[in-house]
Amino acid sequence: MRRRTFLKRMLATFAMALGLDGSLFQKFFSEFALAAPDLPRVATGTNQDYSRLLTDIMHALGGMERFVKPGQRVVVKPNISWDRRPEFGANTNPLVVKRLVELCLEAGAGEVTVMDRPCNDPRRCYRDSGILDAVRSIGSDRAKIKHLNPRRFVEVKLPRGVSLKQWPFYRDALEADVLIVAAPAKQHGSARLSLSMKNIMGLVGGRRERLHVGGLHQHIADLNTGLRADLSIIDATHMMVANGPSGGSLDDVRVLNRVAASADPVAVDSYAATLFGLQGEDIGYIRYGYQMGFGQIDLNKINLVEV
Amino acid sequence: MSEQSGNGLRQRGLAWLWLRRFSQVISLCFFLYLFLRYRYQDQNLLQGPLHLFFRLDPLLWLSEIVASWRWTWFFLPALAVLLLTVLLGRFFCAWICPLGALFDGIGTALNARRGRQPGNLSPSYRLIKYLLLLVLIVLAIFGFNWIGIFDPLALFFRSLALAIYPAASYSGERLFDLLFGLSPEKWGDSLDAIYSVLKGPLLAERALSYHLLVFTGLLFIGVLLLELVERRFWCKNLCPLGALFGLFARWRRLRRLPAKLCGDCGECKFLCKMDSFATESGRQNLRECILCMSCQVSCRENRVQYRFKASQPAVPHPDIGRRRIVLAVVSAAVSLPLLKVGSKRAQAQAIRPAGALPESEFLQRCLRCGACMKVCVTNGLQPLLLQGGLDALWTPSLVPRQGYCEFHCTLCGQACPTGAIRALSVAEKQRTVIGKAVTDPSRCIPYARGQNCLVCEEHCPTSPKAIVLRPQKKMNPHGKVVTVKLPVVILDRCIGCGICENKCPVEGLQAGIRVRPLVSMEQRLLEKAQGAGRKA
Repeated sequence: MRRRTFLKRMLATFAMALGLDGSLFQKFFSEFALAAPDLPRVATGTNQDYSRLLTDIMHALGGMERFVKPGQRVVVKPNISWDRRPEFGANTNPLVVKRLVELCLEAGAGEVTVMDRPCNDPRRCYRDSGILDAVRSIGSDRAKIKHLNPRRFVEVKLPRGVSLKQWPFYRDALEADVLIVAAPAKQHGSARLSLSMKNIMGLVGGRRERLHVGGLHQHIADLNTGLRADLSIIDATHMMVANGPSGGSLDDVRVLNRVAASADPVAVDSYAATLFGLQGEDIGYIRYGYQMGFGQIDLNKINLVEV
Repeated sequence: MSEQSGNGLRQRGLAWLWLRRFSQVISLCFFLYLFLRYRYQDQNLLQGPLHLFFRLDPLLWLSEIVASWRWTWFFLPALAVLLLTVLLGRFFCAWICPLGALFDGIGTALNARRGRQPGNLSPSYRLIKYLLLLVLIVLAIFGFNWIGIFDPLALFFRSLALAIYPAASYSGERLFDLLFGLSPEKWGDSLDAIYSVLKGPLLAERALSYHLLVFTGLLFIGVLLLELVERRFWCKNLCPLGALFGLFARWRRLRRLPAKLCGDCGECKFLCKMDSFATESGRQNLRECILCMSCQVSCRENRVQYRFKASQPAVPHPDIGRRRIVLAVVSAAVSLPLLKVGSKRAQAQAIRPAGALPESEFLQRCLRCGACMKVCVTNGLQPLLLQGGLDALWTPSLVPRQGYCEFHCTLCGQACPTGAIRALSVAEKQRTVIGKAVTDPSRCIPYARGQNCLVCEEHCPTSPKAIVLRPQKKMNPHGKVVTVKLPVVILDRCIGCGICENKCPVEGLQAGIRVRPLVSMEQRLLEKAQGAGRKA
């Protein structure tokens, strides 16, 4: 085949592919169009009606339709780590999770699965966090809540990782079309703050305790190279300011009724740090995440939208 | 006339025989079903007639009374069983006892394979069970309660909980491993669906393991294999519950006719699983007959029937002999100090579950049934072997490296059929101190290696946390002096749940932080401090 023929046919093939697959076409251009001029956008707001709040915030981010396309498989990863009731703020608020799942369903998601890998007994965490009942109360067979099956972890190479070169991740999260992390904003003894990037630890296997040793912050950043959330939510409705991440006293909880969301995990975490009177730079994994190019840490370069 | 009524007897016998088998199967299945219900069922509450079989057991009633010297109505169903025994004899053994049902099933299967019926041992063997009962009661009265170790229901439950179920669940998991491995892409999702349904109700929530798994399992298999020596070996010779029923059967009204072996046949002698016919006189020992109805069904002459008789029967005493009884009682009493050797150490070794009674009372009332260990959500409750002396054999102790005590969970207290572990409210349980955590600076990562870790602090469930951080300068593995956060246990806040030890990333059996049991002095100090706290 002559070079000219080859190039022609290649071009034709691409053109056909773009023509046939409208979404690919759209994606191809929209990403180029969006990426260049826009600052990463973080939407946040307060409202006692969490359902309303979530709707408004997602609207400010361009609607859930921007993240979830019809028929896609969505994994929603709230924090269900602890056997604590919602008011203690140790887990993601069940109403936040519920509305999030509903928004995905309204955007036409084929299947929305809620899952986490708890620290306490999983059944007790799912139940007492209120998230099991919240997801079931939606009453859709497309909305599921599942316990992790230890057989479904797969080893993932992390070529961009600095101190972790590979680690097992949950297959369903890797294979999901859309991954949404919904993290409660909490004080944390060793990570200082537990925010959306820290929450990726709920989708990894192996002996997670080991991750605490030899640089937890770098490990968190490295894990984020293996799995990036398409949408990161910070749930500061019940912000835990002390005794975290497990808490256990209402004295440690500030009821802010605030939620923040962004497609940029570094940006939303950096913003959430300010709720605690800190800066994104103060938290190791947020800083590493910025340095490794996951997103924007500088609040001056973030388009913060208050709804 | 005799032809017809005789056939009628056999027919009726056959109906009773099948009814009995049906009752046995139902009873065994129900026992297993209830066994599986000893688990976290989506709420911190055990529901249903969980303790039913224990409550039917008059020997456990006796154990509870002797252990606590208190009357209890909890075992009222056992009274009904006893009253029925007075009327019917040892019906429990062939109609209700789930272990008896298992013996019959396994014995039939094993011996059918070998193509022969086992013989019968000398009748004097069967005195063992009476002596055992006597010795157990005497020992229990003097503070060494081993009744639960020999009680058939406690034995069965314990063997299921500590050996059979973990093994079966393990096999089930490996089967799923195999199936998942065959073609994860093709079958993964449908297998996942099946698996998630079985997980919990049938398969254990987590891979279970117990310290005495092999020991308990082999012992149980050994007991089952006694069927090869003779049918119902356990029931005839060893079972103390059977002996108790035997004692009450002396007033028995339901009797076999003819009362003796027939001179022209005598087949019943070889047919009877309980070997209840005396060799010399051919008379049936009504203490041994368990109403299995086999002789009525098999009688070729259609003579055998069971009838209620108003008159007092001539039931022979269990022919133990007064001297043997005295000897047994005395030797039991004399051996007591020997059996108690090392018991004091139990307290220093064991981390008893929250709600456990004071040690000596706990040891008296614990049935060693294993219900608390079965229900424990983390598999942290483990049986003791001899660490606490013979006294503490099979009693539960928390092994945090294996599983911690879940902060909001009170299931073991609810699962305990006797109240050896009290059923606490969640709030009470969270205040109950079962041990104290201490860091081991030679293993704890921040202390020993100068690296940050703090997994223990993260998981500590008390509020405020019993583990706090103290920044200190340490040399790290690269020889640099850095500031690390050291975990420090605030003893006043620690309840000894052991999640810190469980989650500690230090490799090997010995974690960098460990829960020590409460030894009595510490406990007293603690109670004093708590008392002072309350006054203030």
